[in-house]
Amino acid sequence: MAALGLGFIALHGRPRACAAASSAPAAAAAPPVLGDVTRPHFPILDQTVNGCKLVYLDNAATSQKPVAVLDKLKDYYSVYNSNVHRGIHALSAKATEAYEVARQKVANFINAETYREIVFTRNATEAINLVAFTWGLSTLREGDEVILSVAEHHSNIVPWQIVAQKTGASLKYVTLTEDETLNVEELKGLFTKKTKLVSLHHVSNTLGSINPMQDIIRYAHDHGAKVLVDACQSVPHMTVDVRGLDADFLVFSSHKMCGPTGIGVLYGKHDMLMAMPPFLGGGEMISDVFLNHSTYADPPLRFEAGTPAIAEAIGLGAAIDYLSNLGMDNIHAYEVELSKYLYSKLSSVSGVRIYGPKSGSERAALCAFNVEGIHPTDLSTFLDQQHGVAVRSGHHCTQPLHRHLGINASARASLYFYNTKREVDAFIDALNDTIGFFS
Amino acid sequence: MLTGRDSRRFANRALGTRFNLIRPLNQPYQIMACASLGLGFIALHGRPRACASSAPAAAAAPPALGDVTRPHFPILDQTVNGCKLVYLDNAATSQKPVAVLDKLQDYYSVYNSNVHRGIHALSAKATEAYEVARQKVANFINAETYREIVFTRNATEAINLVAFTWGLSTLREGDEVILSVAEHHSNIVPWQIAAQKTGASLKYVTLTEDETLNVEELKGLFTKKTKLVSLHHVSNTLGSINPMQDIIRYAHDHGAKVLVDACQSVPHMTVDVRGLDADFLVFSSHKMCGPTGIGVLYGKHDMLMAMPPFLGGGEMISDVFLNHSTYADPPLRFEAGTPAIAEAIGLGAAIDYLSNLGMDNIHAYEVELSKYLYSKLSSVSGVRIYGPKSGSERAALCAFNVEGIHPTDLSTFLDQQHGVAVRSGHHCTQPLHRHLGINASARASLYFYNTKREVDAFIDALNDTIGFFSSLH
Repeated sequence: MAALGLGFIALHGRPRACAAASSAPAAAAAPPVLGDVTRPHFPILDQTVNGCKLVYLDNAATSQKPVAVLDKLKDYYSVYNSNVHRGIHALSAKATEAYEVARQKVANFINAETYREIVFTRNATEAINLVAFTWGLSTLREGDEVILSVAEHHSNIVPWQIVAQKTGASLKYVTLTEDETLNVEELKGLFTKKTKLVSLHHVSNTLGSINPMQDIIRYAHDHGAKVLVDACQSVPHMTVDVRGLDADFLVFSSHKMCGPTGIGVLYGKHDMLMAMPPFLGGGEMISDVFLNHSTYADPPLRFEAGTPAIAEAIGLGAAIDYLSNLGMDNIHAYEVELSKYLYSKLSSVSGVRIYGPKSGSERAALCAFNVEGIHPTDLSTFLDQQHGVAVRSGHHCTQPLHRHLGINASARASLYFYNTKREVDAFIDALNDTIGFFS
Repeated sequence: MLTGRDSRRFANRALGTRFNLIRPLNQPYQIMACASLGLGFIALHGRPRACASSAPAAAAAPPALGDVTRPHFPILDQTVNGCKLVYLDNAATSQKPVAVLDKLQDYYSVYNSNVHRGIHALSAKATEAYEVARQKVANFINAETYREIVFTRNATEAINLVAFTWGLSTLREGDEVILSVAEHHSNIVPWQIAAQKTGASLKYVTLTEDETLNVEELKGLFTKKTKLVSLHHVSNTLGSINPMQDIIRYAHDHGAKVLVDACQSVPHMTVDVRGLDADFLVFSSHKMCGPTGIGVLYGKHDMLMAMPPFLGGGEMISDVFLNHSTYADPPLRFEAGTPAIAEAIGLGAAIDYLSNLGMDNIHAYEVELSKYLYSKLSSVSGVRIYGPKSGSERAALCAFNVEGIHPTDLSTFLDQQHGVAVRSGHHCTQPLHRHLGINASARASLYFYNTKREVDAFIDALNDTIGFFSSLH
């Protein structure tokens, strides 16, 4: 805060020179990359912030939505908005169909066997809680073990802490290799006869590392444990095949993949979901209600109490259509390029320390980093106020990871398929200006 | 005799749809419904269409709220099955004014960003809009502070939140929770689960002869063990309005807390949580011109402060260590993960829209509509309306049955032949239907954008429906 204060007094009257404006004009006659092709679909990106062209590099926090998704939302509310599942009339039938079609789209997108394995939630966090409080509370006994990692998002730690408290189960945390990736050997060594569940990130929102989930799941299954995959940072960015992985549970959020806020997904193998008691109780999730007891619907409706987020589910379906149209493999290939470029440029800046694996192994298109001597909050504030560059600073919901790395906070730039190398250049120029200023 | 699955397929083919519109209720209903549906729809083939809603508007009447607001709801201006849509299913969900849709578009097109944890311009703007929406909700129901407003997915989640935090940490074996036979499933099932887990027991108030909540009986149910009363403010099936202020005072005098299910009241009238002295109050955005995917739990600050977390994860924590975590204060303590940001902002826009019309104006208009609807509907021969007679105040909805016609058949005909949208089934009040001795009912439910003309269209359509099904016998 002191640095902030001093820094911003010194800013007064400083001539503005936006990094984005000064970035080199697009190379002539280069084939259009995915970031250029898709940019017009995202009018929100075409604005100035604090007098500079917006450079939105906070996609691991949330993504922007293409016009196609916004149009679908508007269409729903303007033409056939109605409650679902219990109605006869025309609007209700149309809304119900669109909602269930969206569910099928989600199932197809992740190669689930049936739409019955797709439960709509508010977000990935609720999806993990759903598993923890139904499968977890009914399965875990005193002495049972759940394996997590020190790099997990809070949403994949806290529910398990609560459940462990309630059941007497214990939590074990895998740590990192020297490369700052998940220590898979250590993970394997943590398994005992008591291990019931492994719950891990597929892609780390801070380290950018990508875990070998298929191998981990096979190993876990060989040792009698189930696996929940936190796919928040993978499903939006690459093809994820739940049957290829053989995941027992997998979670992700719509808002990180061009879809609306307010909707997320729990994938669960059908036999797992069938055996799980209800989560929230109420309308829709019941079969019959008597005064002294109720009977429950089959999955997935068993886990969807009350009026669902109908518009949001339909919007997520539209996002899936949009992404599928681009092709997840195309998105991934482009982001691999962006990732290498980002890492290469950022690591060349003097005083920058990037967390996670070096770029030799594959990294997600994000970098959490610190600059020696500058607090990440000051850095992010300057980037935003002087250059319109949006990055995030703080703990990124990974406090244990930051503690493990010996830091309080970091800054993070995270890209999506609508970003470009030019924007990475703008970010680096802005960063250099920032570092120059604080020095 | 058609079996369950076959009869549904038959009915669906007759309806010309691919979807499983006919949900399985109990067996006899299903077969009867589908048999008559089948016969009915064979008989429909080639029947000349005459939409009920085509009567011209009365000349030179001063514009009613329904006429003034109609242009704000373009969705209402469409034809369904060749007839002008008459949307009378507002207790299930409401339509959204252009102002709300514009606000949603604006959010996503201009400042969409994650909230609470960001520094940059878009994030600051999104965070502000989200928290301004929370303050709007607080103001709308006269809560003391925004800290008493927790955003949920819907009222159902809000009730579960109370049941699984306050409920599980407070209720002991032998404690008592008072509900009523008229409650929505969402205000029954969470308490059944909490009662199972804690050993508490549930008591259900029944109805008077007038088919309203039996308040005297309710008072008689209190014991030293009564910890909570959880009741509807306005019944989505009976249309009755409960004297919540009196009930809450009585409950408090007897050491019990009160949760008010305000789903059918907050959208339709001024609701003042401090005037009521409610301990908890819940409602859903989608029933009050707001988006789906967002609901509200109001809880007195000291109640929320004492409650353990509900869902765990990002946002609701203060610090996270490997072996334990510390939690945020309310309301964030109960909001885990990225919130429904756009939806909250959309709800704020809905509140602005409704406040602009004035909740008292909306209520006064709906009182008129309610009397008109009841009067017209009760004049139709063979119609049985549930709930109190129109002498006492009723919400602008009527659940009803017509002698000899299954409500599903009735609703299907109204939709297919006249574009009139009502709901049929149990309206998430199975125990109430059982208590009334019926399986299902049809329900017409109005909102401030409906008009008396639409009630007339509904009644004309209903008369045509009754005429048709009578002609089959």
